[in-house]
Amino acid sequence: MTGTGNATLYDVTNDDLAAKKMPRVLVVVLVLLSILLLGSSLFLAVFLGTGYDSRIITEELLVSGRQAPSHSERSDPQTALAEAEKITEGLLPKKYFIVIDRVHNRLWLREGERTDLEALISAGAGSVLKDPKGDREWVFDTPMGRFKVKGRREKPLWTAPDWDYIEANEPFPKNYADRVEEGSLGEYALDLDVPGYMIHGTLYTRLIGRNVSHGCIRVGRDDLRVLWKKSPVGSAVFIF
Amino acid sequence: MTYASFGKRARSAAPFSFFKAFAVALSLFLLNSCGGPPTPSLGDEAALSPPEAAHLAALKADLAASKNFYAELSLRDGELRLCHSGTFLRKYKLSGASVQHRRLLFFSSGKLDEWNNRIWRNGELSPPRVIERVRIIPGDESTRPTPGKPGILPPTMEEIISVPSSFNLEFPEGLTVRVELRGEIPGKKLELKKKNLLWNDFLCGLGLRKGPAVRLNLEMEGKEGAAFFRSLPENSPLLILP
Repeated sequence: MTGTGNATLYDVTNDDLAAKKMPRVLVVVLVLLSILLLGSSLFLAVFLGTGYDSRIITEELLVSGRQAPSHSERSDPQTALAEAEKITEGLLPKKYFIVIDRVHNRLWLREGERTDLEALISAGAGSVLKDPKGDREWVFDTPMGRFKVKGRREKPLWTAPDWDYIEANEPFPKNYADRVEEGSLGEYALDLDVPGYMIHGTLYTRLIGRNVSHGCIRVGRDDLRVLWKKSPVGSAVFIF
Repeated sequence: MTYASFGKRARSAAPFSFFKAFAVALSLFLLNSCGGPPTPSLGDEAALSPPEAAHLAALKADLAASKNFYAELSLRDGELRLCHSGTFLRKYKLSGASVQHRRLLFFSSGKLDEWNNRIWRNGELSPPRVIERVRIIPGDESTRPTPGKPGILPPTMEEIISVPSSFNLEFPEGLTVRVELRGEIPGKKLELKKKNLLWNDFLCGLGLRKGPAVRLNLEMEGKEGAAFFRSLPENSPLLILP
């Protein structure tokens, strides 16, 4: 009896314990889960709502994002518009102009938005030369900006500067006349209004399309002939 | 109730639906944040009021008279233009664009309304453009810009200016233009350590990291974007057309 009674008592006690403990564990688990869910939801809501939104650019968005005109533009818009347009028109290049992309070795001869010639060229190599016997240093970049054709030469001569001898590790010639070379600049040269730089022909036609010059613009023979015909003194040259 | 039955119930009850809904919301958000910016669908003509047209003309005149390079961004035409003296020199095609405003808890923070029909100045490329210049060794044919011997090909600018797959143009007054390049990038590529952009944006939103009030995301083909990165002159102002 006792044994049976004990066993029964023991079983009953276990059941009771289980019945009491299970919900407690469940409650704890549920509470923890809720806290976890709530916390992570809160964090994710903050995370998702913080940072940058993303919008497709619509007409409405563009209109709402416009900068407000100044007082003078508001009070007399017609005069302000006419004055501004007059300034811009006065700066536009007249007739033909040359555009040079020195990074991609391209040249365009344009008249307004119309392109009359697109050519491969050779622009500056961008390399650096230091005079081992002095403090002089050269960076062989093609200059950037707006320039104009300052002079035009047929059968131009080239006077080799010091860097040409330093680069080749050769002594400087004793006579100035020994620096002058014929034919290396091709048939024509268009001198720019930045000293020492020009658009000219080349003997190294195999290297056209690569950055191999010391800053000048080298053009192939046929393209140079077109440029020569359509680029009088004063023509604008844009180099970027 | 047993643990087993509790488990079964739990999987089919509310928390699961919450997770499902949350997962969908998160996926949509991530798609929105990480996917390519959608192509804008705008009309051809900007209906500018006379004062706004005068304002735009004044901005253009100001840039044209500056004797410097500048860029124009036309979201309507889907192109970036490099200009000088009122003339475009080269156009770079966009394949997509979107705009982002900084926000904190879904509310715009540091909102900058006037981001177009205005000029942005002192922009800096990030990462900066680096030219790996060749140093000429006197007498060494292989380092000369024009080698006398055939068979030696000096590097092009595309080979000495490396381009990352995405870059920023950061303007100190609160605008960043982020350019994402898609497809093949010609020439040398710049490998950058990947940043956790979502986390970075989150910190910007909280004000714990410096970030622009407005960010324009532009998408370009690798060739176009790389050409723009390599060619854009330093400190070029940017005019965002209305």
